[in-house]
Amino acid sequence: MTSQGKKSIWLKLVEYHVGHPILMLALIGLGTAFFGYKCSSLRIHTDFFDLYPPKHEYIQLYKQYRSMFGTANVMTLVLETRNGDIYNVKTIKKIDRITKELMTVKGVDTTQLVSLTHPRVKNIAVGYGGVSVTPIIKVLPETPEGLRSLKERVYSNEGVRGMYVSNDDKAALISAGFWEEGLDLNNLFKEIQKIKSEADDATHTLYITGYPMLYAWIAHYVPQLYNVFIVTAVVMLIMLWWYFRSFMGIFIPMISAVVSAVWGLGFAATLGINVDPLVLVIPLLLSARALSHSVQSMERYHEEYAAIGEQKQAIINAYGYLYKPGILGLITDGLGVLTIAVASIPLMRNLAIYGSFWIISIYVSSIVMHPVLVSLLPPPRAKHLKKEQLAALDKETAREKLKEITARPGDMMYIKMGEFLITLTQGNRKWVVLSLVMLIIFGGGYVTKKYLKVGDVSAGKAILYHDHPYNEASDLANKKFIGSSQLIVVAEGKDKGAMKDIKSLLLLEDLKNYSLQEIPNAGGAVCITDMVKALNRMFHDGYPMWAMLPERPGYVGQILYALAAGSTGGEMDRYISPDNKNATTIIYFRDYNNKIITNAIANLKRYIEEHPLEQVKLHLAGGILGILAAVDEEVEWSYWINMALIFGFTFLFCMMAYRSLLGAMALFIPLLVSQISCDILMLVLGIDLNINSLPVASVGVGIGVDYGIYILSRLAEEYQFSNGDYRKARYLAITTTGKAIIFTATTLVVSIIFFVFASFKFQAEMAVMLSFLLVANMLGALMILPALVSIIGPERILSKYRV
Amino acid sequence: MKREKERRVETKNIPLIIIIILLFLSVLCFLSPCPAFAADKRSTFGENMFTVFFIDSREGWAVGAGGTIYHSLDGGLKWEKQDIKTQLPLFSVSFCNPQVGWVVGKSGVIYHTLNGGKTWKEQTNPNNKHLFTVKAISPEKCWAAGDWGTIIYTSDGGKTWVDRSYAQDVIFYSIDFQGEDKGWMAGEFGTVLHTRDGGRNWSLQQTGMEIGSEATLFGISFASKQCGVIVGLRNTILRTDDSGRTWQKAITRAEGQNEEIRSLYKVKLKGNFGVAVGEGGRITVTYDCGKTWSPIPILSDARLAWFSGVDIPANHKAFIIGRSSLALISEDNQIKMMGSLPTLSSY
Repeated sequence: MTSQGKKSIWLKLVEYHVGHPILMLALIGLGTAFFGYKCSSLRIHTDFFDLYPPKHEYIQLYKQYRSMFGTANVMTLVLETRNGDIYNVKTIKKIDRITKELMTVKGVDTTQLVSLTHPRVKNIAVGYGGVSVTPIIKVLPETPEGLRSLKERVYSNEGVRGMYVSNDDKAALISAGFWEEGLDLNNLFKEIQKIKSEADDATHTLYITGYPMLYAWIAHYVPQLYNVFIVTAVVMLIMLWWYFRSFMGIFIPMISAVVSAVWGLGFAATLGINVDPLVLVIPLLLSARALSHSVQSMERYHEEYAAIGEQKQAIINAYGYLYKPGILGLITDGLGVLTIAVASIPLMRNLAIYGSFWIISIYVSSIVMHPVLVSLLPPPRAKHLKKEQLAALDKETAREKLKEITARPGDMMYIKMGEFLITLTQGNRKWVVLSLVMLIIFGGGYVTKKYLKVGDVSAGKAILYHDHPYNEASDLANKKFIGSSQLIVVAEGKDKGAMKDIKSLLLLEDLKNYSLQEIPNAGGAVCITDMVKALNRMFHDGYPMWAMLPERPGYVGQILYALAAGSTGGEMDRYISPDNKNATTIIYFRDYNNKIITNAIANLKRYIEEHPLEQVKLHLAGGILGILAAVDEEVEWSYWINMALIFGFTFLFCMMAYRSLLGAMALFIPLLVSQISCDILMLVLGIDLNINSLPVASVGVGIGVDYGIYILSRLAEEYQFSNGDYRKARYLAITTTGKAIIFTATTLVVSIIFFVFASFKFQAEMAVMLSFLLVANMLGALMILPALVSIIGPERILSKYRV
Repeated sequence: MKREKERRVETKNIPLIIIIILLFLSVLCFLSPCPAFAADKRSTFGENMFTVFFIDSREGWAVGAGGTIYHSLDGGLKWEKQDIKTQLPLFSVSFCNPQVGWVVGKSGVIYHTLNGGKTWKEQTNPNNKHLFTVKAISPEKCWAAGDWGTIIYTSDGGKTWVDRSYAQDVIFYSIDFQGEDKGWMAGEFGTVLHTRDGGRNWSLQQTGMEIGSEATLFGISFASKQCGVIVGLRNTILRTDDSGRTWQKAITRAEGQNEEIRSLYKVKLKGNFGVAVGEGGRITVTYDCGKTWSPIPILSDARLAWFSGVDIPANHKAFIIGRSSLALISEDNQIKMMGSLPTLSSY
């Protein structure tokens, strides 16, 4: 009821919902059945193109040239022998068999399959018949003399050792590109594991790394994630039972969470959006919202029922009171999630679309469906006061009495925790809280702005544990070879044949040398100039001094023609286009992280700026590192915009709802504190702020909004009810609404802790991060917010809120 | 008593003073390059090296890719980079005394020094073709040769270079002189030119190779006015006892399947001792002025390398350089590796 005695729109809405239970449930049931049906076609898998920001210049460059220069998704297989070197019949045959088996794996780009035994690796030699460009292995060697000869060819040809044979001769590298489109990662995992099981024996081990393998591992772990989800759900059920001690207490919140999940996921399926396994933790967060709203509603319903003992009126009162904060929370949450769409990365855009719809569906599952379901179920078994009893008591006594009779066995722990939090902010302690808030905002804000970097902080180990076979394979490949991660600079010629010009070739070579000298972690580099020089040397009887670019007119063209003639179609495409118009300089990195990629891109940009050439334009950046650079750049700017929008929306809507700028500030500051604290945690634990963790951080803000809105609304309600006694209002708000917040937060922390046991390091880290966010937001709502209201002045903030 | 006490105090403080001085010095070392370690002295190079030349048993120079030139004063154990202000590959170096020398390289570039390489000055070449070989005869006289039959000569310390190019399109890879008058030049198509008058006239010498299958000759070296050796494509080793009037095939003992087709790029004779180096890490030695040659087994990994430079700074001691900075010292057939084996950092 409003202060004017007129029914508020919220009460009218609840009355309408409760008054038309069949219609409401039928509509919700229809919607749930529709989305439930759609859920059956939901795809949980990684689409590589969903990870690339399509408008970024690097991605556009990659898409433009990938059919020529090959896919960036390269799998690296390293066959290591423990006995002697690779120059024995058994090992060479194994390399050959792995190479041939890879050719049949679905999705492989056969033009990007290279190994020592593949004809693509050439032997450039000068003999009695002149210069010849032939496969380094024409027939697999079977004799000691043949193996010795192979070793000599490996040693005497540029670009074999370090690339396909390790410098210690104990390992061979097989490289295979996989097209992004339609790659069946589960099938890839099975086929690659089959190849591995056949290759491994007492003296050989096959190690596999590279992006396709990383995502194949992730796909492989998805069923395990489902198990963790089941455990999480079971623990939540137990916690709900422990708290409410009733069927209704378990059924209502769980059904709300399930219905909103069905709507959210069904909506994604309807739009043809696939859910990436790495953002599966987001549904958990969204379910947490549904659970939070449900628990608040249930708690309030119990309170109201105890106070008036009349079920329907208790429902209308409880849900009417909560309608406004509920709607406000959902709007700010929904808009917050929608702002993730500022990043042009499809994965994030898709998440923003179905995530915001999911939150809207919480309106249906909690705010609309809840009172309807509750009205159809028997009233709580708890005692209640009769109207005449209530009328006979003064307000203070009535409150105490209500508290006493609504108390459940599981309540006391949460009430004690709430009381403890109240003592931490009472009296002068609120100034301590304010000091801490200032320290975190200014000190923490400065530190995180300076040091928190976007991208993988720990090179390639953001998703899986350090000792995971994938990471061990990466380490081995990077240790024994010139590097498994590529950054490609594309030289785009003005006209056909632009690369026949010596200036163009010199530019490519100069860029290569510059990269090796100036870019840390660049393990090697390759460009067509190297091959032209190698062949020029061979055209001059192999004399070493001739390993230079020819100066005689027309010679470069002849050499390029000879190179093309010695190769089968497409073999040279990675280095130069068939019309000699475009070419590449490929830089190999042993390891990478945000700093290395940023530094490499900055160096290359500087080089390009300082070395203009009329007939050739250098473009950044292809290869997996080019893609990662594009993603990092997109994530970085969108993170700050995203945060600004979330906080902006929250501030705006809260200001409108509470009709107080200071009230909005009091809500905003705890959010800021928990967000900065979360950034500090990420920095301390080395959690990467990347494409997968950013949405978690963004969605996490919404939890704080929910908690804050509920507690501020209750504070306003109790403040007005108690005629301006803030101490009393705070106590009541925290021991009722606050109690439910503590329960929700702790329940979720206890439930998601099982993610720590997942094989994903990423999921475990997200579990830690989410737990921290939940606790930080809980403390923000129950400690910082009341303290700030107390400091600013309760009258200024709480009196204008229309209860 | 007081003095003794003071002295004791002073003595007691000595270790502290030493520590403070050491700390101060180490701070200075951190702040600026410590003089003792600042010099760019190394036991290996960083680039492909093409030619090495020793003027005596201790002092030598080596040139290579990217305009690099190194100088050694201890028989090749340590090398110091010299500043020559070019990025072009330098192919050959020759000194007539410890002070005066020339280097030549790609696009006919010529640099000259009058102070042992402390400073190098570019000289004007009438011809911009690649120069692969240079031979300093005296502070005034020097010969150089290279691509397109290029032969150039100076008799005024390089102020002017005269074009004496050969009429045919032959690439010359090596020159050697015995005294100022007698000289030989070897190159493509089995070509050997000889002069007996200080280069006024060059005449073609017959090498005895079959017409039509003449191998390219990369290296020539004379131990005396009579005894000389030429090496070249596909394991070619020719020797002469009569100043090149007649050339015979030397007796070589090849090792391995491809030895007979592996080229030899450079040869150096000193007395009866000689060393030839080449493709696939080949090193072969002679103790009878080139009549018979025996391969030296080196580490198998060195087969990755090619060797293009050899000199003999002292009796029976050769210094060899080649691909990716690999440098070897061979003393009485004992190979000592100067630098670590090259690893592929680029292709």
